[in-house]
Amino acid sequence: MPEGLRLLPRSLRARLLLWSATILVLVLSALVLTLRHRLRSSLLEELDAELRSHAEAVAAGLAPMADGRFELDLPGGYLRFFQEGAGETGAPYYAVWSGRGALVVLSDPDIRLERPGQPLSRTREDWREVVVEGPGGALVLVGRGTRGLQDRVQAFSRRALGAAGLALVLVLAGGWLLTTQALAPIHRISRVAAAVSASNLGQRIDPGQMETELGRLAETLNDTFDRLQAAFEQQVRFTTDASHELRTPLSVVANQAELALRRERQPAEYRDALQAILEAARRMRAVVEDLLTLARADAGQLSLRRDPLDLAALVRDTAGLMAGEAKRLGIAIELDLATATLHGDRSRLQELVTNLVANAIRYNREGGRVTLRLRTRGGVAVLDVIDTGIGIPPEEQALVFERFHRVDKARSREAGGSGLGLAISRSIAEAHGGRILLESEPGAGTTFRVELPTG
Amino acid sequence: MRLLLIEDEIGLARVLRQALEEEGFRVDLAADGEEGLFRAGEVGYDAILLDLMLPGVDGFEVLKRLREPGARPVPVLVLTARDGVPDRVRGLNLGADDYLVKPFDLEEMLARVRALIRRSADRPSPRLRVGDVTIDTVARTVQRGGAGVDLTAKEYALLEYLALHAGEVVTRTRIYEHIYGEEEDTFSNVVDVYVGNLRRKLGADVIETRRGHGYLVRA
Repeated sequence: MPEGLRLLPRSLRARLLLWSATILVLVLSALVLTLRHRLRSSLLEELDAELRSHAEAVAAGLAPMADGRFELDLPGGYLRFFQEGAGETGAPYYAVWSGRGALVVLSDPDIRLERPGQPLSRTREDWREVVVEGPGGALVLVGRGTRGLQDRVQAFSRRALGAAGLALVLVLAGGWLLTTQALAPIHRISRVAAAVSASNLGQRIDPGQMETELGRLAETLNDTFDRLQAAFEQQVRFTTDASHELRTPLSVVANQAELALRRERQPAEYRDALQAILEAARRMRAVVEDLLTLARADAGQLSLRRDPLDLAALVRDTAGLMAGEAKRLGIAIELDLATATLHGDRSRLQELVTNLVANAIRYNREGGRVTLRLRTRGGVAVLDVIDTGIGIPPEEQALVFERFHRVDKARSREAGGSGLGLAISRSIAEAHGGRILLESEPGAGTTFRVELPTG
Repeated sequence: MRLLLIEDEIGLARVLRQALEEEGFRVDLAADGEEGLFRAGEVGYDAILLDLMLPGVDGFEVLKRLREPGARPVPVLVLTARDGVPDRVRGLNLGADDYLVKPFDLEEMLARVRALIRRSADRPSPRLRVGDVTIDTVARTVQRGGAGVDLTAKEYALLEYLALHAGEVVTRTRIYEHIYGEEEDTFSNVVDVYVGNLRRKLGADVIETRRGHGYLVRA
């Protein structure tokens, strides 16, 4: 929003105070106006009642005479009442009109009065007048100035406005204190949140003193920080592991070359050195390729083709490619494949099956067996890779899919594993909308189960 | 000098062993922590090169057990692919004498091993002096009265070992253990032959014989 168009201040406290002040001013004004109106009405009613009783007294004192004139005989108290008030502001007065409309009596000759048509109560400029019917169609009017009444209403309004102003000040001051107190935890939260960074992930908000809602916010934020920290630490561990995985073959390359160059050597020695360097370089390439695959999977960019393919044929071909290595290690591969077709990425699925079969061969016992069983159950292709190896201890089972986790490090490396095979297999299965499970009995063997949706 | 290299990366272990052997060290290999601890208990090595990431008993645990009270004191150079400060501090706090992060230069590794052995023999200078004989342990050359003396690798190794332990009587068995490999027949008089050669090249007074005990070089 452009600066000029912003009607409300940015500060939450200022907004809260502005809003509550506005509402309070509206409410108090309405209250003062209503009360003022009520007071005025009730004072007028009182005055009307008084005037009416005077008018009726005057009417009672009227005696019509034969010539159409009237004789007025007022009790002494009334005479005094009208005389005492005379001359003062708001002094009472009376007037009588005959039935024919002629003004018969007027207590104060200075007053100009119109004859009212009927009995009524009315306000005429600064006077209040009540008209009642007298004998013989006469109309009796008694009036009195309302200045005193108005003064009372004014005085009330002033006092009420003063009280309202005080209330406003008190509410604003209280609101200031309350918002300060209420916003303090928010400041604390934002301070901690601002302090949390990659190099300082351990900071947490102390929700101890906070009100329920803010305490919940603090807990939610702390949970988020926990998850961030865990993800960050996993990333750091992964990077450390990856660099370790690369440093070792890198050492072989560098040190082998250094050693070869330290002095003149026989051609056979150079050949051996180059051979060792080549092996180390191949291992680095395998690690780098696997890391790249995983990085793509992490970014959701494991590009998958969705070709219709015959999973049984794919498993059979892959097993065929590994038969040589299995035979060399004295391990039999058995196939028990039912038909299963699905849409998937041939080369990725081949990689998955290769990883699992390679593991099953690598971690088998001498003269052992690898069984590949494929079934389709309720729209899911289930591939079991069963070995007769030493099995995986229960505490390791959850870890084998972790990157660079090795149950038997020496054995894995000897066989050229990068330590990422199972992590990659899991990524491939998940990218196909499937999953990979593991069941293992130490001493008896391990079964890796891949479930992939068909169709 | 006899070294133990505990390293599970067979490719790297081979390179390091060859480099060390070409520098006149005798090197035993152990592929895991268990074997390393066993060998360290059997032989009094002049130094141990220890990789931290080992299968089974890891390097930290090996270090801890090597430094148990009553264990034979031996300088340990830790080799690791982990360069985090906490790892380094942990290794040093467990009693490692020095630290090298992979990948490292062979020359640096060799220099550190030599320095480690000198320090543990309480001879921090790279030049050792025995009478009028000066030994440059870096260039691996020997001078007598300012003139260079040509020694074979084995002769040099024996002289350096005796000079590092000058003032001590060094037994024949100890010399076999530290200088000569298993290929040599322990019951042969190979030590006497080398001592004879050294006396011929450096003068008869450099090495004393303590009959029934061993040899002595005076400080």
